[in-house]
This record gives sequence, C-alpha cells and structure tokens, in this order.
Amino acid sequence: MFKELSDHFSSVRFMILLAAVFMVALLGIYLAGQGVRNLLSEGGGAYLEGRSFLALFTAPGAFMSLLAFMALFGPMVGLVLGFDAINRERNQGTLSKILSQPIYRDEVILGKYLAGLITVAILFTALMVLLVGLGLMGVGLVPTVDEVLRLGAFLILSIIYVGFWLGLALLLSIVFRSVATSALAAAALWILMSFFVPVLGQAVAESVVAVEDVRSPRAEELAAYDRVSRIAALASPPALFSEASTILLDPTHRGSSQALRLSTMSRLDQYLLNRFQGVLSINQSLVLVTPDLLALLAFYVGTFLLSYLAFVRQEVRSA
Amino acid sequence: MAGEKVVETFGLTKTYGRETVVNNLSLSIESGEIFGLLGPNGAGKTTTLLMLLGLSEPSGGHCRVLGLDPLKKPLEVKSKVGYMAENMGIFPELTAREHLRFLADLNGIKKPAINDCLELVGLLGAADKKAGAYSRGMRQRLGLAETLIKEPKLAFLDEPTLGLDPDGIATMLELIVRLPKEKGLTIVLSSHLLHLVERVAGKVAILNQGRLLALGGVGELSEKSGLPGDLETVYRHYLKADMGSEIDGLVLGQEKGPGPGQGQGPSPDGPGALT
Repeated sequence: MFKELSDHFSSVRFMILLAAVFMVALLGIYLAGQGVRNLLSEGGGAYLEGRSFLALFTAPGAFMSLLAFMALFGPMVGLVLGFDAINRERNQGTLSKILSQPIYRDEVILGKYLAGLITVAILFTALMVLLVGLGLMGVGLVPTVDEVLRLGAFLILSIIYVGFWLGLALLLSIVFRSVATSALAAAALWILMSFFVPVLGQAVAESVVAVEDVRSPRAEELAAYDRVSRIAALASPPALFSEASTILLDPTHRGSSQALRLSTMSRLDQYLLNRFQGVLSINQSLVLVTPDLLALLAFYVGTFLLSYLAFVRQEVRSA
Repeated sequence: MAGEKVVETFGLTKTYGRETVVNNLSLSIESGEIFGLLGPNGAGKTTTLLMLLGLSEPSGGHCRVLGLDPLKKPLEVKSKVGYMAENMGIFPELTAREHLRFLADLNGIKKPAINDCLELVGLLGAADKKAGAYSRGMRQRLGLAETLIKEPKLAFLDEPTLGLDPDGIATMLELIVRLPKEKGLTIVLSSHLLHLVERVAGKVAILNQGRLLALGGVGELSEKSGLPGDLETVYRHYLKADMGSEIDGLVLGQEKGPGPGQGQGPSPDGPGALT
C-alpha cells in the first residue's frame, strides 16, 4: 500500500489534479467570500446568523458554490485516481509479478483502494484547512463550534462520496482490459449519474404520479410526486451527496421535502414557518441526513465489494 | 535432493467456457534439472505454469509443487517458487535495486542478497539506474534477478529470451545453465524457440492444444520417434502426428506471424488472448 501511496503522490497526474482542484477551490472561496462580505456590509448579518462562515461554502459566488463544485467535480478525483489502477498494471505485466509473490490477492486490491482513499482524504483535508484559513483571513469570520462540526461532517461525507467513485473506477479498471475503455466508461458513468439520473427521476415521477390538473396540483399529488422523486434520487449518488451536504452546510435546510411543504403553503404560512423554525442543530441535521448517508454508504460499499469480487475471481494473465 | 519430484501434475485440466487449454496433463519434474515446456502459442504452457503457482484454479485434476498443493497452500508455494512471466513488467520509476528491495519486502525477506543477485545477472553496474531506461535485455535480466531474490528452490521461466537479440539470448541461456549448478535450482523453461531449449534442457514436454504429446529427454524422444536428429525434427514429428497437414504451415523456432496452431489461443476471460 505504501508503494501505491507513494506512486499517487509522486505522479504527474496527481500534481495536475491537485493544482486544478486547489485553483478552482481558491477561486470559489474568493468569490463566495466577496459575496458574504457584501451581504454582511449591507446588514445581512441577521440573515446569516449562526451560519456566516458556512455561507463561504454554500454561497454561489460568480458561478457556482464550493458545494456544487464538489458535487460535480469531486467524482473526477476518484475516477482519475482509479480508472487504470488494475488494467495498467495488467498491461505492463507488473500485476503477475506482484501476484506471484507470497501475498493474497485481497491485499493487492485493498492496497490499491486504501491508497486511493487515503490520498483523497489527505487532499480534501488539506483543501478544507486551507479554505477555512482563507475564510478566517479573507472575510474575518470565526467559525462557531457548530460550524466546525458541520464542516467536519461534510469532509467525511465528501470522502465517502469520492470513495464511491474511486471504487467504481477500480471496478472499471478490472472489468476493462484497455485503459482507454475504462477511462471512457468512467466519464460516461459520471455524466449519466450527474445529469441524466436526476432528470430521469423527475421523468419517472411524472409518469408514475397522475396529476389531474397540472396548473393547480393537489397537495396529495405533490406529496406523491415528491416521494417518487426522492426514491428515484436514491439511485443517483451525486443527488444524494448534494442533498446531504446541503443539509449539513445549511442549518436552515430541511431537505428537498421542505420545498414541497413551502409550495403548498400560503405566503403568510411560509413566512411564519421560516421565521420561527430557526436553524437546526448539528444533531438534527445529522438525523435528516441519515437516509442519504446510508444510501451513499450502500453505493460505496457495493462498488468496492463488486471490485473485490471481480478482482479475486479474475485470471492473472497479462495481455 | 537430486531425483526428488518437485513438480507433479495428475490429469491437470483447465477450461475457459468450451475451450480446453490444458487437457488432462500428467507429468513430473525432478529436482536439479532444466525442464523444457515446449509448444506453439496456445499450447497451454503459460496456463500450466499459472496453475502450478496457484494463480489459476484447475478445472480438473490436481498438482503438487515442492510437495505442496498450490490451491491449498498458495503462499507457501509462491514463497518457494520464482516466476518470470512472459510479459515481464517493470516499474519504470524504480531502480533495479529498488525493484529487488520491493519484492524482498513482499516476501518478508529482511536481508535480501540484492547485490549478489544483481552481480549474477550482470546488472550491478546499473543497479541504481531507473529501470525505465533499461534495454530489453537488461529488463529480462532484471526479471531473472527478481526471480532469484527470494532464493527459490524452483523457478518457472516463461519465454525468458523473448524479444532479445542474439547476444542477449546467449547471455540469458548462459545464466539459466549456471543456476542449477550454482544455486541448486530446478528450472522449468517454457518456450517455443526449440533450438534454444535444446541447448539447455535435459528433459522436455511437448504440448499442443493443451495435450501432452511427448515427455522425455531429447535423445530419448528421438529414439522413440525413430528419427535421428535435433529437437526440432522430433518436435515436428510429434506435432505432425497430432495435427496432420496443419503442421506444414507452422513456423517453428522463429517468430514469423501466426499460422495454424500459432495464432490466438483461448483467452482467460474468453476466446482471443495470446498465450
């Protein structure tokens, strides 16, 4: 595993990835910081009470929030670290060299996976510390204990999320002998899960839930639509991650069902609800996030198990 | 101990789907000898070696290597057997010394004889040069050093002269001949280059399409077939008896493109991959 780790950290690919991720993250925090500073100077402090620091991660800035950036491009980190982990070694002839030594196959696949995961963990932790530091210096905000805990939970969630993509990339590198094919398959799956599955979820909901009058749907119809959409979203790790991370980083957010509740209320009810609901505690947010987290963990464990089984059952011969 | 059976196979069989790549193979190899495993591409040589190492599960029959069942005791077998694969890969960013250190670590060897191994294969002078800059011959010699670092009792060398120039081949063969004498090693040499095997092997097995056609010393096989002459004549005789007229298109001892029996054998994951 140490050789794998060393290979990751010394590779040109990792350096490029590191530079790209840090560049976009720094730009994102700078733009978000500007937005938060403006809001605070315009007297929006009360609006951001208890979540000013977190706003650095959730404010959209000029193009997208750091959170949205992570949901969209986090998978790239996992895919880039894993798409050729096995087939490259097989094609180079180094896999048979390693497997003919007195080690179990499990150790090879576990070593590859753990090395990738540790690399992701180190990269994201460093990134998070850097962004928090920049937030402290740039905007002059000090995070509360609750905000630090939320950022910690978000970090763990992000590592699990990217771990899923790493497992998927590893699986592709086992299934496909050609590195180019596994890279293309990884890109295709990323596009499919990030863009098509969520749309597909809405399409499924529309086809399953019969709405009598589209212009003024009844509350039960909207509730049924929301339920089906949410079930469909469970098939999309990016949707799960977005939902869970938004709940974690925005203490006022109560999940996508909140939008439904608000849409079925009068404007006065909506105002009163927002006014008196207040922010959620970290424990309450964690409870809300549990279904998404469990579904994400199921994807995470599932892809790794598939990779593991495919690898231990595969023949050793090089191409 | 000389004369001790270090490899025994009993009806060893391997199938991939409907393709049988090793078919009911029974043979034994004694310690201290250089044993040639001969056959055209797709004959089942590499698959046999992989089954002997415990890297591929037999579909039928069983085998014993150094008295151990590779399926039940794979780690013990792999710690005592060196394997130089046909497509010998290197880690281009590592030096020869680092390669040997890495493999010694995987074998749990605390004080590996790295310099001795490198000196034996003539790479001591280039020990600290990155292997990515090595010539094909140097890479093959590094592969042999890697095989030897665990001080094995038995070594499987799969096409060790593949892609080498005449000087490289001569150096490699010289090394192979020295090993049983200097290290007490038994060598199983898989190759389709008959004139080379003939120079070093005491005993050979001729395989075709997974079946054992003949087993014995070169002289012994020549006598059996009633053909005076070299290994290639004997080999052609057995292959012709097995394949009939197909043998006429087969180019032996050289790499001249695929003919019948020299083309693609069945793949480990389905038909198509080369041996």
